[in-house]
Amino acid sequence: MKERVDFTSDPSLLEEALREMARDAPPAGLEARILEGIAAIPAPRRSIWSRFAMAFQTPAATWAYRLAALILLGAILVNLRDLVALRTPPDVPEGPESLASLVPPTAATCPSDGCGFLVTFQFRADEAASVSVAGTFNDWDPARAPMVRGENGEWRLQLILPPGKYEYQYVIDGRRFVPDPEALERQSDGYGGENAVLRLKRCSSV
Amino acid sequence: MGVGRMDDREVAMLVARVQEGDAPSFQPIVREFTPPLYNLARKMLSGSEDAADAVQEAFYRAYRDIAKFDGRTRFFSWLYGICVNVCYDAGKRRKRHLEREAPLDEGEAAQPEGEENALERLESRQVQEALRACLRKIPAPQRAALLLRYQEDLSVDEVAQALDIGLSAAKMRISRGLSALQAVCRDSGMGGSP
Repeated sequence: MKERVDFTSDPSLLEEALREMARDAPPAGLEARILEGIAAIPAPRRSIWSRFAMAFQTPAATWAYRLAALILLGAILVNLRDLVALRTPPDVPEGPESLASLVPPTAATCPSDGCGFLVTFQFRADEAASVSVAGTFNDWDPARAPMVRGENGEWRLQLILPPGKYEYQYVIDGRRFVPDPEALERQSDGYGGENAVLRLKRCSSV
Repeated sequence: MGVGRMDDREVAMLVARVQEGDAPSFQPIVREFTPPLYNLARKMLSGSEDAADAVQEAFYRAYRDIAKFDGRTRFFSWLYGICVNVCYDAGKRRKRHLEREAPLDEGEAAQPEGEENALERLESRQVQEALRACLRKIPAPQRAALLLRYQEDLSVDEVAQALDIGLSAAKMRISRGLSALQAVCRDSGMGGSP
């Protein structure tokens, strides 16, 4: 800046002038004064939590820590789900409840001996040559529970089952599995399909 | 950065030591950054004593809060940010007592004048003093942005970090600061042909 310049006509001149402004040197003794003052302040120290938090912010470690944290979080969630499942009350609550209302039209009646329920499975399949029931009560083996054809293509089978929760499907012609279309409850079979669910609750008096 | 003998790794190492409780490691930090901080404060504030006090206060705050420095920004950006805030506070205090204050302390940046080019130096000094005066007339946030960008040679990104604003806001502040400074220079008669 050896001569007067027109800062108003060219902004770059102003930028240059700002860059070239003389730097102001600190007065003698300023550093000593600052250091003396700082000596009177207790030494800072990071808390353990602060160090832990900072570790996640180190650029080099950021992604590794984030990945590890995600894996840990996932593991915790899976374990939590298992824990919740373990603590869930059993599927067969106690108490006298109407069975007929639970499983129509596949009907169950409360047995007089208290050992099991007489369950009637009913399924309409006009064109079927054979229909069976496969479920958790017979290890999903349709051969162990063949149904009998009645009038109008109505297939029927009665089984005595102890109280509990069962999943089942009807098996048409030995190869086509169909969940009970009239079941009150269904749940995933884990393979993209669904099973019908039958709950037989303990009854105290019939 | 305009002034600096230590590289970023050395600074980061010293900061880490101070964060672990090693107080003496703060001394080289003070020696390294006192000149640029003073230069900044001196141009942000009108008095040399105010500037010295601001730098001192900035270092106290930095030392006290150094555990909060997380290393995501460069240390000097963080330190400049503290200094700018201290200068804002000092500027507000000074503004309240402006009428009772002594005339501005303008003489400190005086440079020794040689026998040769004395007139040239005088002219240069007059322009600089006029520019300083104009700079003090623009709003403090814009002044801080201009000083960090052009005097301390920070990148726009570093200016944004120091002022704790976004990149676009930093660009805008620098641009508006230049426009404001240009207008003040024009009003002060600094524009026009020689």
